Amino acid sequence: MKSKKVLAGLMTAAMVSSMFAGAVFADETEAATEAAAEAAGELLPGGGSKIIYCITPSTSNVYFKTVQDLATSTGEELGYEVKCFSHDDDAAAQLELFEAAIADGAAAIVCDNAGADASVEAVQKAYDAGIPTFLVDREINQSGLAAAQLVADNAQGAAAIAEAWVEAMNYEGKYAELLGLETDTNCQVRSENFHSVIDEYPDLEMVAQQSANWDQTEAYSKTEAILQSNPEITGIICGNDTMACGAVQACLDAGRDDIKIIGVDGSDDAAAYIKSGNMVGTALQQIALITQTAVEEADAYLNGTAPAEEKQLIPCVAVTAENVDKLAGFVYTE
Amino acid sequence: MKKRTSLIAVSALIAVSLTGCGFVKVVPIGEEGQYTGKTTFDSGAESSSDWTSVSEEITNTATDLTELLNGDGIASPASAVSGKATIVEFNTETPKHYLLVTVEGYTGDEEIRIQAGGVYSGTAIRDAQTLKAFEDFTNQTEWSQYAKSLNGEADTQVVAPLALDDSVAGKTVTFAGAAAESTGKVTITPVSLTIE
Repeated sequence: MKSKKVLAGLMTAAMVSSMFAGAVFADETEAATEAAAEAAGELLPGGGSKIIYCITPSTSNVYFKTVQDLATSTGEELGYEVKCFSHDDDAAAQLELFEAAIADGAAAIVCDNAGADASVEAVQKAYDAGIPTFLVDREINQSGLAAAQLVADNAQGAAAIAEAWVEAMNYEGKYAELLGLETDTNCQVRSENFHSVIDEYPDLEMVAQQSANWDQTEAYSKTEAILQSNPEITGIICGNDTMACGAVQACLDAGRDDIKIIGVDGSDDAAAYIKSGNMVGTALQQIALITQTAVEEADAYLNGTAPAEEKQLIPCVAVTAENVDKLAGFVYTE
Repeated sequence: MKKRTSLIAVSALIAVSLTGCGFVKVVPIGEEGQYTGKTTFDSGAESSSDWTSVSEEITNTATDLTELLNGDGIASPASAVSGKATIVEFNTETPKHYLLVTVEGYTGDEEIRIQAGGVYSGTAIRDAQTLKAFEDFTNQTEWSQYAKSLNGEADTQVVAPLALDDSVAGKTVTFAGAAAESTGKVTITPVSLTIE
């Protein structure tokens, strides 16, 4: 009888433990706790310090340097110490930086992330440690983890500058496209939305489409090659300004100042080419505004007020010769 | 014996209660449709089922265009507007056809165009309505496709039935629609047009 009891007890224990072993169960409990916390309007407390971590891609691109600079100035104005790091678009490096932020007791993390799916784990870790993350520029494929996602509306921006380009092309002609890093969400979104506008015009024909991986030097050599194989082109559409600037240089070096070029970002280099007539335009992602808003929202959050919406879409501004004077340092001043 | 029964009961209870979360299938991103029956996003179906309520909302919340132009101006990104205008011309010089119009009581420099066939541009109708928001869509691409499909509805439901031609010049148009402003130009995407 006694041994039977022990056996029954062991079996039950084994059964229960095997069921609990599935991470699924643990996740669901966690999800339920989170949902309850959210319903009660509880905010994450932060890690205890007055330090904001700002984690971005490499600052060799001035766009991301702007994120770090503005996070620092806005954060310091609000009384925080701001520590800036680059993950170089490496999700593993990003995770390590998040772990460092957690260990440092960061109050909040402002992050321009290293991939819509790959970044979920890092944001989850911060969440579990009670540290709110404010994502800027790029979104992640999960809601409910970040305190806010302030996303530049790339779809609208790409479509808007494509409209200007179509007009500059006078609705006809052959053209080439330089794509960014093809695994990057923004590369797809921008290209799709260029084409959502351009493909409506049957007299505009794409004769070459290549990736230059967001890179200026690569854009230069790809453009050089395209101009040799397809000298009939009169336009080049580029997924970012860095590539657009490479394309402009290649065209000028080949004596082709007739080619209509657009990019996306709103960099000062692009603005200079728009002013000199070598670029038709760019779509400004208002990264200065986005970063500033994110730091202010972080401060408000830590003082008890969460943003009204997690996902906030910030419109891009189409910048052409008509309004390029209003653009400087990723800031558009009406 | 009693203890043993309760032990079995407890194990049975635990087993039953865990069943709900015990068999979870991990579905790869993009393949949810095979399980939920939800197929790829169809912006056309979405906009066509929303069209009546969207056009009603814009018509009902519209501000008189002249009043707006003389007052606060067109809001960014778009304003619901209505009014009566004189058609200067039906412009088909480019693939983006439009009615160039003037409204009585406005003497400013803005050129006023009503999109009227060919290729439509902008996201004014989507931006002027409030029935659907970005959060209702999976991502910014779907949100932008929705705008494009609403423009398609404007063409099918409002513009195409009028079979516009040059003879409309000089006539009066009563309109409601969504207006967007950029560099000295107001472009209205119509949700209703009556020409007489």
